[in-house]
Amino acid sequence: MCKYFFSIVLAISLNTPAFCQEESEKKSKIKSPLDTVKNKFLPTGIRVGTDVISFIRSRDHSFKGWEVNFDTDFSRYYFTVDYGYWAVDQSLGNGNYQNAGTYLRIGTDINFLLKDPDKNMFFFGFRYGLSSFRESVQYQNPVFYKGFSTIAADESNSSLSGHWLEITSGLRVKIVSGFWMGYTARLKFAPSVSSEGLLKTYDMPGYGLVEQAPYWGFNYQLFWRFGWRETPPLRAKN
Amino acid sequence: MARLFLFILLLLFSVSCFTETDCLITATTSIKIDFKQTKTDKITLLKSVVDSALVFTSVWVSDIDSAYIKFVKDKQYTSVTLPINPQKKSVKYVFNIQSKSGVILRKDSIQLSFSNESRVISQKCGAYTYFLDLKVTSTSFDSTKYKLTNNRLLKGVTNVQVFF
Repeated sequence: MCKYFFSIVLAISLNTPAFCQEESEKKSKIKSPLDTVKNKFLPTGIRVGTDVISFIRSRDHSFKGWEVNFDTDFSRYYFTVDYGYWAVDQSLGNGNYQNAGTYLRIGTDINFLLKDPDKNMFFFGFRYGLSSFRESVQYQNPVFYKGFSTIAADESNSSLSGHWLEITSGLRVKIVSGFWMGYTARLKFAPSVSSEGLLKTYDMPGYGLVEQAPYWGFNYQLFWRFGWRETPPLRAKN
Repeated sequence: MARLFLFILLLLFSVSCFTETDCLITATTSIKIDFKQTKTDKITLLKSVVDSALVFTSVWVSDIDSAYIKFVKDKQYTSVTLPINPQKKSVKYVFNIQSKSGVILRKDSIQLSFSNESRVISQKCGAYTYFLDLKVTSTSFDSTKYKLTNNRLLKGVTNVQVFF
């Protein structure tokens, strides 16, 4: 019996790791089903874009502007930020009008093409817009009594701020890897301007004609996406 | 749900069709004053406001050296539209009123103050100065004998009613 003792101990000690491995495999099969909800609301990347229409309009001498757009995904919700510059130098029927300023739009888009693997979008959303700008006007008016001199006005608002709301809708379509094209249509409303002087604000950068509410806006955009993780797998329908 | 979004999309497009600016200029550098009187119906005892026709020997406007309205025989006024000097912040009108028989009855005056703002109507229509915040600062009329009906100077809009 003694001569077999060491052989038995050796056989048991070699057998134990294999036994343990089998146990752990069984456990892992039981405990790790596919988790599709975990990290669902963590962004997978950022899209950086620009508005083509602003560049096209800037070819006209009466408008200078540009706009950059950012969005990042939180599942079907996209947090969006737009920042732009807008300057107008218009000849009026009886004078000239100029403004210049920057604007910021912050909001959310809701994507209705959730299952699209290319992150194409058909979306509805809303924005809150902020603008900081200056404006001036020079003009002449006739008067009722010809004996009085005509009105020759040169008025300006040197430091204005304003805000408004928008409802948006649009499309984003993947053209090639990492590059999207699309449009955003905007219904702008509830404009408000503070710090006005003798000149009633006419055109607010980012919004447009202040006296017109609602006001329509349209952007044709190019986007580049910089991803930092894979999109979580979609849950299969039962 | 899809129909709702389609409806909203159509709404966005339809609203956009109504953003064309009208070239309607209402700014003016004149004040319209109407002359009124209160009449009481003898039977019903109901009071009503009717036009009052006045004959002026002259009407004077501050900053104008000669009479703005001069006497014209048989010419009666139920309202007058008088100028303001857009370079000033107030105006004074003096009315020399006479009876139809030619005997001078009274001389009245009213002084009004106002402010202004500039508005760009549209690129095509241009920019205009609008006068607003019209106030009666002094007058020979009794406080119950005049009424400020509109404090903005707009074409064809009555600003003051004076009761005789």
